[in-house]
Amino acid sequence: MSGLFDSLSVASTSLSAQRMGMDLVEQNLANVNTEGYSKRQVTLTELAPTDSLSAGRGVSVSQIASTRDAFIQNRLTNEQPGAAMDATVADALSVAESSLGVTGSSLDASFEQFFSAFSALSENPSSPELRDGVARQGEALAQMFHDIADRLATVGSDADAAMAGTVGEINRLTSQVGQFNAQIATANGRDVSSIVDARDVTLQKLSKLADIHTSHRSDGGIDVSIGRGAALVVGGAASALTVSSEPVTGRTTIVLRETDITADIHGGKLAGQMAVRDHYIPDYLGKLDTLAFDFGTAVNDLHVTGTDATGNAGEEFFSMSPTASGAASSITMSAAIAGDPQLVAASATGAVGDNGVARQIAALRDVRALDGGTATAANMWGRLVYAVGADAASAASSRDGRKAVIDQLSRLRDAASGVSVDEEAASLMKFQRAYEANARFFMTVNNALDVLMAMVQ
Amino acid sequence: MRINFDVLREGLGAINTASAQLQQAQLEAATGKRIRKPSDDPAAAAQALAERAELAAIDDYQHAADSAASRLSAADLALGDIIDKLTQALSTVTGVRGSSVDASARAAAGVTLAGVRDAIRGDLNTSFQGNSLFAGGKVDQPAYALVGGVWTYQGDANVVQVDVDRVRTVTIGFNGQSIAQGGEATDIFTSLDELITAVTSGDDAGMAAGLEALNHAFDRANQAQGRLGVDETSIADTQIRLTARSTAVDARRSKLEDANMAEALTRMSQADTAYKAALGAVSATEKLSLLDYLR
Repeated sequence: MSGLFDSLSVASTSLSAQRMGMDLVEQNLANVNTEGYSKRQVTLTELAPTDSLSAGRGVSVSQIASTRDAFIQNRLTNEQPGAAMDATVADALSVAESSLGVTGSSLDASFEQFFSAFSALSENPSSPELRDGVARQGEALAQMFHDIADRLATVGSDADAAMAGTVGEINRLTSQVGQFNAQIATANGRDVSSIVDARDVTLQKLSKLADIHTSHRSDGGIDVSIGRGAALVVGGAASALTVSSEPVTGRTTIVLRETDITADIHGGKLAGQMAVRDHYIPDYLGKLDTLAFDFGTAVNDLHVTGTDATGNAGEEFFSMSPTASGAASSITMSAAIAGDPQLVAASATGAVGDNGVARQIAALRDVRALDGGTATAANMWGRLVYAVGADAASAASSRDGRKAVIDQLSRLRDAASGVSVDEEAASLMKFQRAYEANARFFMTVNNALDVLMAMVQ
Repeated sequence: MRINFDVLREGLGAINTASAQLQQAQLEAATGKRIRKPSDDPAAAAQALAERAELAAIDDYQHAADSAASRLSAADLALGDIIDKLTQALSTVTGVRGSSVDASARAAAGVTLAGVRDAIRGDLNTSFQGNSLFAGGKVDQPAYALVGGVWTYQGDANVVQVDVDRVRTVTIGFNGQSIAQGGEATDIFTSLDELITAVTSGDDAGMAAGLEALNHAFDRANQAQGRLGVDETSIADTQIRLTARSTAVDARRSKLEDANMAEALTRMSQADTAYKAALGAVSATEKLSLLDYLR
């Protein structure tokens, strides 16, 4: 049987335990808006009686634990690279599609104005004004090719330039993960929940930048690898990625311990930037180059068969690169024709009033003379617009889909680990009531002791 | 399972969704455009480009048809006048044949024939906006001129055509020589000069030969005017077809690109309601927690 002093001791253990409960409520509420914070929970354990006639020795705090669901956390980490890649591609492609200009005032309009100028010239081939109109539309068309090619190329070069920044951010985060790992490994039993929370947040950020893989260590740390298993973080040691430039293209490459791992990265913002730089933009520029080259060639082939207003054979209307590569950037109208529109070769017979070549060039709008004889200029431009639009829509749709998955996983994570204000309010009331009851019991025992002491005196 | 409802995150998500829908509907209603960028509807955007190209082509053909119609009208007037003048010449020559006609009447007839010759020359040298209509491709030259005392065709044998539709061309520059001379050994001007000599000298055989030449020239001018009339009718038909096609193509383009205003305004109203509801719901629930009830 225990004495009154033992009862005071029991009440004291409970006061401490309930106070700890209230402290944790305070901590949880304080971090209700802290990113990655996992709710702390106290586990109370009865202090068992020492003999069969004893009520017990009170209560103790046996554990303070963070509530985590490793499965959901891993799912989140695995979903982030794809979502970040889609978001990066979608953002870049929205810029790319704006680079094509507004329908009705972009390359489509330039083509139509060019053909219209030749059509008008065919009605009156000797008109100096109409000849000048042809020359001006030719210049405007070439300039439009340049503008679009330049804007598209800028999207690609911006993506390339941004890769260095992304790599720097990856290095900063992997360094943090290494530091967290070291702190956890040397904790020696100290509570590392806050460090684990911070490391989880860092890993989430890291997984948005590249397709990382994680593996747990026996010392509580997490190793991080990238691409095809190249180690980025091993325990407390983090290896830094470096960037270099390809000798020929000047494009950014990613190097880890002197090995080029650029081709091994398939997820995250970094992969999105590479996809824009290496896949989407080159594809669009290739289509634009083919359009410029085939169109320029078709016009030139007709123009050289004609005779200009001075009686000389027509020269090439456009000059450009010898192959399709880079044609959109290099196409320019013949400087001689631009300077003297009398050199526009509208005549097929040599007669000043003949319009044979002007008619043929005007009719080129309907001739499938481009892309291996399969398309008109309008067809090819439509294909490019469709390709950019479809890619942008697809990337945006994929981004939204993955975001929905991540939002759902975040809800599940919060359901497992997040702080609920209502729940904490209920806990606060629960611990407060228990504390009050134990305090009253303590006072009651104390009063009994006072009475006992008074009897002794 | 714990339900941990993050009012702000969920609420902001709903607000963002409603806001995006409202913005989309507002833009559609304000701009009247359903497609503002290719990704809004890639297939429709590409198809709309094709329709716009077709509209531009039709516009050019309409312009060419209008211009050609004006030229043909001018050429038609000239040919009509040539036919009138040839009729006048035939009548004049027929009237002075025979032994009863005196020298003064024949001289007057010669003067009339000279006037006919000059008028036909003026008709064949007709220009439209500075371009000779009957000099073939040499539009900068008058068709006929007296060079060194010889009537000379200064144009060429080409005809100038324009496209008034994809498979429809009309001639807007004519080979004047085929009208003035055709397959004859001499042109109408030389024939008229010879006829004037025959009339004033009372050379009946010469007048007979001249009448034959006039008749042949009359036939050639009639044929040329007939062909021109066919082209004029064809242009009128083509213009009607082009207008109908333009209307149809523009309707297809509009269906692809333009917003259905009634639908856009309805969606804007719905999105506005949803947006206000999301704002209200967040502001209402954000205030609530168990802490408000614990005393």
